[in-house]
Amino acid sequence: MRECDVLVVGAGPAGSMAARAAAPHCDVVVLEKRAQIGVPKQCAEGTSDMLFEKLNLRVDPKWISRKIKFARLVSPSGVRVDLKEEKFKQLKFGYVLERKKFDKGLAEIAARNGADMFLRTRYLGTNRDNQHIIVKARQFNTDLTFKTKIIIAADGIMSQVARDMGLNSILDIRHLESCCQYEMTGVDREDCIELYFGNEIAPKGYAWIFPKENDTANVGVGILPTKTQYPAKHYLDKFVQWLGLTGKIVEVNAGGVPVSGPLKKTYADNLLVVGDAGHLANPITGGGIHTAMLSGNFAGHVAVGALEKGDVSEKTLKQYETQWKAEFGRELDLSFKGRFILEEFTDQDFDDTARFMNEKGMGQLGAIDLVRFAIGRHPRFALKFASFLKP
Amino acid sequence: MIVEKDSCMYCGSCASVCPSNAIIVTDYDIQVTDECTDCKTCVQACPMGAIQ
Repeated sequence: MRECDVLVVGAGPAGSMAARAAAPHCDVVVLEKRAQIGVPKQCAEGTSDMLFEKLNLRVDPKWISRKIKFARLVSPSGVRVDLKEEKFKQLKFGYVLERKKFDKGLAEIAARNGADMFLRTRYLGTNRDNQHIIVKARQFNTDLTFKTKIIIAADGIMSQVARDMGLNSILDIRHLESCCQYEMTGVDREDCIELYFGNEIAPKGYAWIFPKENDTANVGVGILPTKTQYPAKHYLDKFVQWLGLTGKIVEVNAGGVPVSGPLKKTYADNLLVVGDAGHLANPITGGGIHTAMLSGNFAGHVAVGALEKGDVSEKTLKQYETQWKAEFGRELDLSFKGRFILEEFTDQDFDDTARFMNEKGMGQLGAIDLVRFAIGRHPRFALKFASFLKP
Repeated sequence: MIVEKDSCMYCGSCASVCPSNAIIVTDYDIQVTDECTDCKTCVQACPMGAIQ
């Protein structure tokens, strides 16, 4: 039996950031079910550069596939809104990552900080043993047992760890964004991420083109399966055809994004839940790299503090939730409410909103103007907006 | 329910929404346990249309 202080299940960005933060101060073990870190990607790979400053993390140029200067929204009839004004600074500069290299790079940092890495190691289950957690796993053909003080669930949308530790992490299907994506050649685009809206193109979601190195790009679709007739792949094939892309598909990706907003509780005795496992993705954009990394980092630090204090009960670990809520709780909350407004938009609404945004000039347009505009169109939105704006 | 493994991407969307926690997705395999109640939630969730 291998004893440790912190055991992290999952070596995605959330798990590796937790291990990076904790490993210099205590004995950290990371379990990863796959033989390779960062594959297969289940991600459009876009994120902002501010994230790395916050985490005090030096960006390795090989993680970056393309630097992004602005974002473009495209309405169903083709009205483009370019978000590049000063006001949208957060969109002004970002990256489309190469997740294969990025995830591996983060895992290498965790390993160099002292985390013990177990690859091709499947988490099987846990039980409690007084103040400790016994974790059963299987690496290749060998059963392994670990004894840890804290377990960090970074095992993604399926989070078996959170379930085994007593949290209800089953995602309501109404809050699953089902996604399919092709990485394609022959997609020449500006340094701009494009989001396409419309009830034909991507019902209750959006379609995207995120350019990567040279002429390649991630072209994908996310839909709400409870509101649609066909699986995501069907809409993606139609989208590619509609765009008239003639390049070749060099990679196929699929995956689910939790757009439910966070789990009711992301901690328990001996447990911290990070990233997608905690349903921490943004419910409108589906973006979850920033929240995964920030939550992982908080979790690693809180774990170290709890170990130093000699108290790994939920009373101490609760700080973790307080910290991530202070950092991005409001973002997730507003986006969750906003999601339901967008889901009611007709194609006409998307078109008119896009025109309105262009007429006013995005530089002068605040969120409140958009709200006024939408309420003017549909008084029934007023109630929803009221809850949207509640602090 | 039947998983058409040739179309499955092992992405775990089905397992994440299974109310009975009856789907186990590993690196390159998917298993449905006896806990399955045939509720078909997973059929909807699959991005590839690989479950019937």
